[in-house]
Formats: sequence, C-alpha cells, structure tokens
Amino acid sequence: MLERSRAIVRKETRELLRDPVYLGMAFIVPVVLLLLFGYGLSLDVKHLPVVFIDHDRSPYSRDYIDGFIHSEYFDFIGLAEDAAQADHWLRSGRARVIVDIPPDFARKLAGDRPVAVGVTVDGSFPTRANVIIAYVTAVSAQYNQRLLSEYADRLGAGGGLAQPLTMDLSVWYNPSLESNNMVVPGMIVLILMLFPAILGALVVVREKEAGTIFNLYVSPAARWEIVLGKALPYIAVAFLDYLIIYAMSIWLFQVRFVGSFWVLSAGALLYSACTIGIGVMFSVLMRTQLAAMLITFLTTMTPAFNYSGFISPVASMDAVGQFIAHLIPATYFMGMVRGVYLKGLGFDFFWPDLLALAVYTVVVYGLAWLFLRKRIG
Amino acid sequence: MSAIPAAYASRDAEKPFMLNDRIVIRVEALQRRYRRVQAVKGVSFEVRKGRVFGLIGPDGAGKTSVLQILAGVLSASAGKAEVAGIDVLRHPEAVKPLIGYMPQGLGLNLYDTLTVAENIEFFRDLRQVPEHAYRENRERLLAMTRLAPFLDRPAGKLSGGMRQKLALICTLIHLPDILLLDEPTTGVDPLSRRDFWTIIHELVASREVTVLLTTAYMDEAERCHRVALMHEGAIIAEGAPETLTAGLPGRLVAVQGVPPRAVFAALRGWTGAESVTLFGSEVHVLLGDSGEGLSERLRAAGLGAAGVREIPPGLEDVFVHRMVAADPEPPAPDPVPAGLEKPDADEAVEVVDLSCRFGDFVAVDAVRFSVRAGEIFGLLGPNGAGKTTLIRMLCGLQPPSGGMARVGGFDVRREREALRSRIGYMSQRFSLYRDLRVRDNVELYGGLYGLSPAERARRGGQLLEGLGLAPYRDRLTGSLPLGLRQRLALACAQLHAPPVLFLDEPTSGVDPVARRQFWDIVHLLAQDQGVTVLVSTHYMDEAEHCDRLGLMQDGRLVAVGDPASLKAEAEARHGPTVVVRAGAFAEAFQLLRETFPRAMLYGRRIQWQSADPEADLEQARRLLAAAGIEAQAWQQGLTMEETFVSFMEAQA
Repeated sequence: MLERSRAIVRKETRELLRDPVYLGMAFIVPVVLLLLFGYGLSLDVKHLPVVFIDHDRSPYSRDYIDGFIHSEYFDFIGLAEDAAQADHWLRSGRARVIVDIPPDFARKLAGDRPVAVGVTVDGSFPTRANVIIAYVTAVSAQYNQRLLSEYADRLGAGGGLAQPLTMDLSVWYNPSLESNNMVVPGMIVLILMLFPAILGALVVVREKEAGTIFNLYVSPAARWEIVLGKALPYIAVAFLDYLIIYAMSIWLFQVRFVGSFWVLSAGALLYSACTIGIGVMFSVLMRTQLAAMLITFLTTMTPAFNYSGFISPVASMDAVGQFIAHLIPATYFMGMVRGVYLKGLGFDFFWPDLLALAVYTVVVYGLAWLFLRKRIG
Repeated sequence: MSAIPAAYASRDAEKPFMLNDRIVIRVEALQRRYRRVQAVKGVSFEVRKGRVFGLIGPDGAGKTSVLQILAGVLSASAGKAEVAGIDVLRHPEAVKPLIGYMPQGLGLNLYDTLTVAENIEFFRDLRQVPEHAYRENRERLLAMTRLAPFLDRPAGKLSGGMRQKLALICTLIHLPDILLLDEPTTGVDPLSRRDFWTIIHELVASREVTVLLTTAYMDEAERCHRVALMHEGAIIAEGAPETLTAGLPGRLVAVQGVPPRAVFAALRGWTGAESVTLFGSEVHVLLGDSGEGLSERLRAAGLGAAGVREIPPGLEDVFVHRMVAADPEPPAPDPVPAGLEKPDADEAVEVVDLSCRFGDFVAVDAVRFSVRAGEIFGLLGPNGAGKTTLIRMLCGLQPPSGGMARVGGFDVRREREALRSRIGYMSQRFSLYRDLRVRDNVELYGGLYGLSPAERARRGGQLLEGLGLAPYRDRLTGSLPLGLRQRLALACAQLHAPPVLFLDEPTSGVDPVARRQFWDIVHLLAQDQGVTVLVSTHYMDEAEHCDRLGLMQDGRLVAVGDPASLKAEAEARHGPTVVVRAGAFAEAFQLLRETFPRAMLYGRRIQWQSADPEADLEQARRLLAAAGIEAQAWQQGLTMEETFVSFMEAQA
C-alpha cells in the first residue's frame, strides 16, 4: 500500500539533502531567525538612557538624581550643560528621556513648597514611552514618599503610617517577568508555521515548474500516496527543526521549562503535520513556486504573528480578532507551548487544542487530496 | 542488445509478426479547446500493435495535446480516445499502468540532483516493478544506451543526449506495452538520436511495443511505419511515409545553372508552380498537376540555359502542398525586401581558437572558422553544442575566455561599441515584446539602435512592407503566429542595416511554409544585398540552405565545409547507405543482421553504411530471395545526419 509513498519519500529526501538552498531554508534560516528574535525582540524595557539638566546642583537635586541612577531601569548618560545639548542627545537617540531640574528645586522643597520637574520623553515608540513615564513617575513617587515621611517626622506625626498599605507581590509562571520566557516559546510556534508551510508550498509546484510532475501524473500512484509521499519527509524536517529550537530554548536562552517534553513534542508533531499540509495544499493549487510561496506566506505568517497571541493575548482582542485567532492553527499551539513551558500543563488540559489541530490537519490534507487532479487541465 | 524472441525468428510461426493487427490506440474526432484557442480540431487516427506512429508538425500544431490526452493527464473537449481498449477520457487512471509517457524537453522528467541509478530506482519504485523483471530490463536498457559507466553521476551533469537516453530508460523501466513520446529527439545530438531510434525499433521488434511519438523533424518520418502531418490542430495528411510522398500530385524539380535569384523572380506568382524555394544555388519548384510550361516560362525570362532535373519529393513538400491546398491564400509575403540600400559588405567573420568556459564547463572549445562577406554560414548542432554561446561571443554579449574573433573587422573583445552598429542579432525565441504592437516593437528597436525618428519610420516601413508584415502593423505581437513573429524579429534585427546578421535558431518550431519563406528572405538578403548571415539550427535538413556549414558538438567544431563536400568526405570514409525495404521487414531485418551487423531498422526499411555497396546489395538481394522475402534494395547518398554522425565518430 505505502510502497509508492515510500518511493516518493526517498526521492524527496535525497533531493532535499543535496540541495543547499532547501537544506539552508529547512535548518539554518529557522535557527538564525530564533537567534535574531530571541536576542533582538526583548519586550522588557530596562536600561533606559536618561539625561539630566540640573540647574540647581544642590544636595536635594543630587538625591533625586540618585533615585534614577540606582534603578536598573535607567542608565545615567550624563548631565547636560543646557537644554540644547539635552535636546541633541534626545534627538540622536543617546537619551530617551530628559529630566530638567529647575534652579529653585532645593529652595522650594526646603521651604515645603511644591516644585515642578520637567520631564521630556521620546514618544516615537508609544509602548516604550508609556513604560518610561511609569518608571519616572515611580521614582518621583518614591522621592515624594521620602519627603513626606520626613515632613511627618518633623511635625512629630511620623511612624508606621508613612506607608499605610504595602503589597506582598508574587508573580507566577514567569516569576522574573522575563520576556524571553514568553518570546522564545512563541517563536517555536511562528517558526514551525512559516518554514514548514513554505517548504510544503514548494514540494509539488517545484515539480510542476521542472516538468517532472508528469512522472507522478502518469504513474499509477494514487492521489493520497502522492500527497503523503510529498508531506512525510518535510514533516520529519519540521519536527527536527522543533527539536533544535527546543534545545536552543533550554540551553541557550535558559527559558524556564516546567512541563513535559513528551506533551510538547506530541503537539509539535501534529502542528508540523498541519503546517506542512497547508503548504502542500497551496502547492497543489498553484502553478509557480513564487505564487505558492507568496500565498503561503500571506495566509500563514501574517495571521500567526498578529492573532496567535504571540504579541498580545487572544483574550484581549476584539471580537473579529478572536474569531480570526480561532481560525488559525497557531493559536491552539501557542496556548499549548506557553502552557507546557511555563505552567507544566498536560494532555488532560490540552486535548481540545490537540483535537482542533487534528481537525485542521485532516481538513488541509483532505483539500490537498481533493485539489490534486493528476491532470493539467 | 537482446536477441529477437523465437516467435519472430521463424516464418512458419502460426502468428507471423505483422498479422497481429490489433488496434492499440484509437482516436476519433478528438477536440481540445483552451479558452478561446482550439488546439485540437477533430483529430482521428489509429495505431496498430507493434507499430511506430509519428505525429509530425510545427509548434502549436496540437501534437502535445493529443499525446497528453492519451496519457490521461489532459481532458478532451469532445471526441473519443481509446488506449488498449480503455476509454481514456472516462477512465484515465486505468490507462496509466499500461503506458510509458515521456514529456517534451530534454530529459525534463529527470531529477537533476539524483544520480542516474537513483533516478531509475525512483521510477522502479513508483511503478512497483517486480525485482526480477527490473534487473533484467535495467541491464538491457543500460547496455543499449551505454549509460552503465555513468550510474553514479547526477542527472543534472549529463549531456543533453545522455539525459534524453536516461529519460527513455526511466520511461521504459516498467516494460510498458505502449509508449507515448513527446518530441523525444528534438535538439538531441545525431549519435544519441541514432541510439534512440535503434532502441525504439529494438523494442518494437522484440516486444511488439506500440509507439506514438511526436516530432518537429520532417526527416524522421521515414523511421515511422505510419505518420500523420498535423497543422493547426488538424491532421492534413496521413499514411505510410512512402505513400505520402507518392501521393503528391505534381513533380518536384530542381532548376540550376542560372542565377537562382532570377529563376525565383521568374517563377514566383506563376500558377503552374505550387511552391518555389531557394536552396543555395538551386531553386526547387513543386510543379502543379500538369507540370507543363516550366521551360517556356524560363525561356520567356531569358533563362533558357537552366538545367532542370527531377528530384524525389520529401515529406516537407507534402506538408507544404497540403497547407497550400487547405489555405489557398497563405500569408505569403513578397519576400523581396524591396528598395533597401545595399550596405557596405566587404567585411565578414573571422574566428581563431575562440573559447568560452563557465567554471569547469567548456561551452566553446577553441573554435576556428571564417565567413566570407555575403555568405550564409550555418552552425549545425544539437542543443548544448555551444552554438548560442559562440554567437553571443561574436555579438560581443559574452566575453570569450580565450582566442580571438573579428566581426566586420572589429575585435569582439575590444571594439564592442563599434561592433554593435555593424551587426544584427536575432536571439533564440525572438526577444520581442509580446504586449507591444508590431510597430511599437519596430519603434523600440529602432530607438535602441539610435535611429532618428524619421529614419525609424522610413526604414521600419520599408522592412515591414518588404517582409509582408504591413497588414499586421497594429496587431499585438503576442497574437501573431510564430512564423510572423519570426519575420518581425528579423525585421527588428535589421533596422540599422547591419552588414552581418546573426540568427540563433530562427526556425525552431516554425511551420514548414513559414520556414521556407524565411529561408527565401535570408537567401535574398545574402544574394541581393551582400549581407553576411551566420545562422544556427538543430534541423539537419536545413543544412542544404547554407553555403557553408560548421558542425558543432560538445563545444567543438567537428567539421567545416559546404554541404556537398562534407557529405562526400563522410561517404568516402564509411561508404554510402544501402537501403532494403520489405513488407515483412522484421523478418528481413532478422535475416540481414546476421550478415550485416551494422544494419539498423528504420520503420519498414533496413539500412546500413557500406564500403562496398554493390557487393552488399547483391548479397542482400540473394539472401532475401532465398528466404522468399519480397523486397526492394538500393543504395543512396548520406543524409546530413549520417554525415554528422560520421564526423563525430571520426573525431572520437
């Protein structure tokens, strides 16, 4: 029954192993992409360069500045001579925020009068700007708190009430709140979407362009034998990719992993089969490699990046966004990957996601089988 | 080579070879439409078991569509198609185990990164060939194709001829009884082509394989038992190759000894001639039904001194006759590009040890020849022989790796700018813009060559008029038939009146009528205006159109000379061809091969080259008579293809 599929599998494997372009696309590009995203896409905002214009140059102002310097969220760039120099640093990107301390800073505070500090934030990235504002606010609040308790002490009303409510904060699943714990597992989902789908998209259409497709069309091989023979080697490639990325996530990026490797692998295998199937389906439909690649890229990568929950949680999307999210396989696997990595959840929790992936897989291979006519017209 | 099974060896066998006349392929009123284009217009034919049937015609005739429908990979719009009694249109999958199908293009069904052995293995596994049958068949096919030493070489690194033979092995590995081969010999070198036909006839003789193949070469018809000439989706003639030429109503004569240009002018437009074609120093005239009045006509034109001799018509003459009959007003231009100024033509082409290497690959290997002004020089060779690279170097488009070449007195390496204004280049597949109108293309190329708007209009108008393209001025180039596009490309290459023209495979895929008209134009350019023409082709029968030829193979020039002396030289080496035609050709072949091991089967004919043709003929006649086989035997001169093979073998 499977002999003809096996013939195609063997041929595909040999071709893949001898073609440096495909081999590179299968194994090198995913690794490079993971490195780029793993190191480059940090959603944490730390070490923000800050510059001060200290018109006051008093112990008070230095005290306030110390509050920034001792925080890991800010990097002290320097004291600007004047506003023009500070502006220049902000514009050139050396600084992201300017804190302008007025000349009467110490005098007013010593006189128990309020004083305004000028804060100028680089707003070109709104999310980062928001974080900066929050941090500056926090540092200033801390300073205020100190001033306030000193004031209370001086009035003789000091003591425990300086901070009436404190939080006992604990963060679960990603205690250090490192974005790598979220980004790297998410990359598994994206990489296993993009490369398998594109490789799958080329497998049939490549033979159409070369003319070798007639070998399959005029052979007695059944349509499902052809689809299976084409898909299987690339599912193996995708699974190998998964193993490589998994290993890198643990040993290179030190991502917290508390779940079961077997649960994750089962999901990865099903997901790989599914994404390869999407590619193969387009490959059967299209006439040129370029068209097949483009449509595969557009229909897999764009929704996976935006709607799978990679950047922002699905639950926080609007109704349309959530609808799209549930149409793409990446969403189901994204939930699984993060759940396994950070929460250690098992099959009992993920069976609906696995089922959704399985249904998806059956549908794409069914369509590929249906569209493969063994005819040119 | 395998022995012919015993069943065919004995004449007393109960079921002699030719009596098994079962129809294996039957096509009836078959039609296929692609959107607006009717590619196949009601085609009907039958192929009997153990025969080689050729569908012959130019590109776009519908040959490939018919083959693809029979292979079950293309649906038909109407009609019937049966293979081995199975309705292909209803049950395409049922046919597939029975057939071997080889698509068009040199070894296009091969996987380039897989080795020869792995390619064969893949086809075995795909077809599930039983191990014992596989082993025996593989050995046999490898021996026949002489590919055994290359088993570990990737298919992508084989030469064109070797690829084609490997493709044939892959098509034959499951021992199919029916072979559908789409242009299996187009662009293949003559030696590989001879191997190919030997294999085909071997299979037919030993296993009664039925073969349906397509070809663009008219001269391959004689190797088929039966042929159908296809043109624009319809069969315009069908029959055994011998009877087809016999059925030609008129006579074919060659007029020589007087200026051919004058003969051409005198006979053109004469109703007594069906076609008038320039062949170098001769004019071939296909006379109509009566054939009367030729000499009067010549005398009236002051050409009474002309010698007229009758020559045997070829299949192409049949084709032209039928095309003219089917379409009484062919798109014939007056192929006299009237009123063109004669360019200064004292210069020509001089090539000394010119080479071109791409990495390890030597595309052109120390080629040396020269072309006189006003000469038509043909580069004849298969795909991949280096013809295109050589022409591109001579046009200054490809820097040579070694050697020297001067075109029109200019060095192709150092004086490229000056060179460009002296040459016209018509590239393979004609680099015209298909989405532009005819006159837009002329305008564009005129602009590219730096002609002023006034010159462009004058010169462009003249050329379009002269080449019969004026009525198509406002048509989209892509909508023109191939023959007209070819003429437009020629017009564009000549806008700046270059003294040297390079034409790279200008006639590939063009129909015979358009091909003849094209060659007429080329002759007139050379004769009237002294234009030097360097033209490449893989059609062996076009060699006759050239004043001199260079035979190219694997980047080397294996011979240079005029067609007649090349043939004479080859004939002096291996002798002329002895031909035996017999009704019971399989038996005759079996009999003769014992005595003449070089004998080969070509359709119904058995041929071999003989150093002593008189003795061989006598012995063959004696053998055949003793065996009671009725046959005719004669000797004939070498064809250009046989000449080419002779030079290739002499080199090796």
